[in-house]
Amino acid sequence: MSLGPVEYMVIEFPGNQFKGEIIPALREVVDAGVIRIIDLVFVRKDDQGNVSVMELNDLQQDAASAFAPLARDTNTLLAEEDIQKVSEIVENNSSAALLLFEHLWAKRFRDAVLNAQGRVIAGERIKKEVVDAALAWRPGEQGAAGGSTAS
Amino acid sequence: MRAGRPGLIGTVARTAVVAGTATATSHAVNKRIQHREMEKEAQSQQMVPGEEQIQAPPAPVSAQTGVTQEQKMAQLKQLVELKQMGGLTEEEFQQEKQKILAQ
Repeated sequence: MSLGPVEYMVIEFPGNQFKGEIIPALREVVDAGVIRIIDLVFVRKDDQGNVSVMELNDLQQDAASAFAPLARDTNTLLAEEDIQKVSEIVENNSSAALLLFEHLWAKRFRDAVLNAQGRVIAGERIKKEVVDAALAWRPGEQGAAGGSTAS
Repeated sequence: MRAGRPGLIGTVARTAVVAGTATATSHAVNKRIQHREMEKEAQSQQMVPGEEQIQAPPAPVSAQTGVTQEQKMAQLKQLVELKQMGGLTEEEFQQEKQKILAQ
């Protein structure tokens, strides 16, 4: 079975709580079939830097049942080494959710492109800084960038 | 089983905080809208280059407080464009959208 583009994201919360506030927004896109959460792991780091890794069913009851609807169609794909890498960037006294998800919308789009004999020949997620700079740019502000006539 | 699986993730580096993205982006969008307005005004008044900077910002755009419906729409449009380019995750997009609508 072919998947849409797969991406991971690490969401960190201060303290030792996984905040349920993010779930409704996330659930919206899951339920709408925009993304599918493939795998989901939780990492907690205490103030000494000790890491504990939790699966969904290791969470406390309320957190587990809050996250559960997001994870109806999951596989174990994240490896131990992935979790270890992610653990390294989690700050002390913080909790992080590691989400692996599939862009379902892009899969539909890709099929449409293929059906139309189109090919995606380039594409990339543009860095936030670059987009911000482009949005903030004003002609004549920082020397002559580009060929616009600065009249 | 996670042990022994082939890894999926390459190098992991912390990124800028998402909340930062949100404000920075809407700020940038505001600036751009403001700039467009300025440009329009400048054209209509046939101003000499250079005077543009001296001139105070035009009245209809008050960047701090009153955000017009038009501006909101423009911001939303920008946001959608940004998302389509892949510059925002779905989550960031939703957050930003709420912010724009709540202004």
